[in-house]
Amino acid sequence: MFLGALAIGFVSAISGIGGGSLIVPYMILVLGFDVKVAVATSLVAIIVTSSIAASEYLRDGLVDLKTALTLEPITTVGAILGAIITTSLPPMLIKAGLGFILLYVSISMLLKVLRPMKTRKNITRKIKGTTKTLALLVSFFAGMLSGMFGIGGGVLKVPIMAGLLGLPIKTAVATSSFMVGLTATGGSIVYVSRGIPEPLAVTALASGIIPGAYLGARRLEKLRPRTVRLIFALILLYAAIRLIISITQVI
Amino acid sequence: MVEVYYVLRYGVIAGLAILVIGLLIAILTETTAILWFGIYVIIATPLLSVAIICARNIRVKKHRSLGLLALLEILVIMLYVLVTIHAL
Repeated sequence: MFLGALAIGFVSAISGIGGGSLIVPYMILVLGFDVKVAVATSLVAIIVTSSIAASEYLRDGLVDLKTALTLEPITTVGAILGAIITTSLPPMLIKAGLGFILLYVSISMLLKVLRPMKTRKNITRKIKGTTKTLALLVSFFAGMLSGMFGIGGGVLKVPIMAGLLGLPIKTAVATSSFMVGLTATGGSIVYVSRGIPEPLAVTALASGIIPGAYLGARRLEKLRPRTVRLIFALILLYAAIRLIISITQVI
Repeated sequence: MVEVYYVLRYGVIAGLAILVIGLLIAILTETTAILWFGIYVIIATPLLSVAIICARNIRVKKHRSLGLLALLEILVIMLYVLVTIHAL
């Protein structure tokens, strides 16, 4: 498990995606954990990774605290609600949902790799009330997905902040990283209060991901991030297909 | 004054250290209480950082809205905790 976590940390540092989308399928498909235990354990491990990343971004002044704390309360409500829903759902439904979420993440990553977007320059624009409401709604949905499936939700938060709220992409990534820790805290509290996370797995995962991410960040310049992202997206696609197939076999 | 990023970084590192010590104790005595304590420390870290943001900004008129938003975040989580404790 420690070696797997090391690899997850390495790959996620290079590809720029939080570990959650890899931890949960790794725990279910490779290690054979129950889906709820995997989700709960992943959320606690995410707090560790995102807090360390966020501390670096905070030191560099990249986090937009006002945007983060405007979106975060509703996101946390979503995460708590999502976690409560997951604890009461049958494992097959959670697996199905996770399979489709991973399918979406992998396809959007593949599209980004194959058709890279032009990076926007710092544009300050006035934000309308409807845009803010839409951002809050999407943020709530992102929180719910995070609480339900043990992922960070950055895949939804970054586009909201960069696309809807007009934040520069670096600020959006840093702000999302700060928010992910808080969202995962909201979800984790629900699971921890029911004793679902596996403490030994949390230890192995969290202590493996950090050195893995450090190694990944150091090797970043020598590796081709585009190729790594492509491999990462294909791994996710494979995990999504395996999860969906495992459900159809049961039905 | 305590910087928020110090709290975030060293809070989770402290949580991880407790988890590793807890792992050794769990191997020797099969007690998982220390491991759970490590998990609680990790979960409390982001909340502590928000509490610092709240305490710092709520007294400054110019930054009061930021302090209030941080307070709202803490209240959301505390509300769930209180409801859970009440249900128990």
